[in-house]
Amino acid sequence: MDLRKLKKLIDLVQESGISELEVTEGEEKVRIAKQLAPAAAPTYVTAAPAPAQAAPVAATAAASAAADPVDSTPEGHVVKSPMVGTFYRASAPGEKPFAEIGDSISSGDRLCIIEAMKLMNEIECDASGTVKAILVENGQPVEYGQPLFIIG
Amino acid sequence: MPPKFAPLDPSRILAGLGDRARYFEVRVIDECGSTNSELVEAAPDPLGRIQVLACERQTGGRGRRGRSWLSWDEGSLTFSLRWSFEPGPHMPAGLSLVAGLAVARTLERLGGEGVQLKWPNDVLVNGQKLAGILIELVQGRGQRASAVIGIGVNLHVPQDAAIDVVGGVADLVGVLSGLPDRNTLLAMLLSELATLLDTYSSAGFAALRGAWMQRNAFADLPVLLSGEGWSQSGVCAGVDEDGALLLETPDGLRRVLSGEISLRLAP
Repeated sequence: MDLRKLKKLIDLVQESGISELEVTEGEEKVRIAKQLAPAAAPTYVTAAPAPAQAAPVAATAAASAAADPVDSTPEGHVVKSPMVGTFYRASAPGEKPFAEIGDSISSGDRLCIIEAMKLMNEIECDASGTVKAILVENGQPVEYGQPLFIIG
Repeated sequence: MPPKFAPLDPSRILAGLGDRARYFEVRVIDECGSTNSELVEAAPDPLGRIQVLACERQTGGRGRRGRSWLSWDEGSLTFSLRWSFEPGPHMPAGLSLVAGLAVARTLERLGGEGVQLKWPNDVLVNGQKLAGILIELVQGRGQRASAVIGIGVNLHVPQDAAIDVVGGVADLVGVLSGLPDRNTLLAMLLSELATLLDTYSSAGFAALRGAWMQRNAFADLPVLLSGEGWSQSGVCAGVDEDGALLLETPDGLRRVLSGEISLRLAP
């Protein structure tokens, strides 16, 4: 594996919300782990509005991560949030979500909406493939750069 | 008798903009579903000007999260503008508050009294909604990032209009003693928007935060914030430097980025 590729992987881990990444390529295997500092993203660390439901969801995620040290997130292209806001899977409450797990997606297809202060940002997929994971619940706050979808 | 309004006319709007006209490309159409949708799909202006689309009859005006925005032919002013910017730590956070502030300041300039802002960007008079704003970001597709800012102002709401809005709606006829014609009003709104967008792009929302807070309809009042599947009550402590609502709660100061704010009545 060349250095440029390693650097890219390190950047990927640093920018994403994942703590560890393991890549196997033929005989070679590399694992990149991130030291999660409490204030990893100083600009946005106080940004989560933490509405009523956010805390329990976060707690569950932390608990399952602790119980299961092996990252069970599938591999693939990670679609990240371009801004701090609230994550919506459909255009309006009660509408059909833009994407479900297992859907095949083309580059340019709508995946979700991120809202911050009535500023709506429709997120388009920047890769083609199948939706392997949806990492955030509808209506939950997301941080800048937080992984939202995995497309494989 | 409902008042008569002159038709929208791009040349009159540009004339009203004076020196600032060169920063704008203005189009007027008779009818469309939503001026926001039209501009989101439109090709960017090759000269980098702010693109404006005003519509005489908007039939499918959109609000936040699937809600609709009602218009009454000549009794409304509905338009959108597309503004390009360089995304960064200060942008586009707070942009929707900047747009609301521009509308409020224009109405004040025309002599409107008691104009207030309901977070993030509804414009109220006496607690009633006079104007609404919805912003959609256009990113990717190999284009420069831009925001389509859709604004609807009630000029004259028919008395028999069926409206389901908490607190009711206000119209400009009821707020101003002398109503300007729509071309002048639109030119004034665009001019104020251009001024505030300039400040915003150089100094961020922080530079306009004080002006916004002065007009905060819920300052220091008990409020309820509700989103999809959650709600949070507290006392409205203004807005943060990026436009997030600050809510004083028993657990401390909280920042809120989305949701509907309403006055919380005493139990």
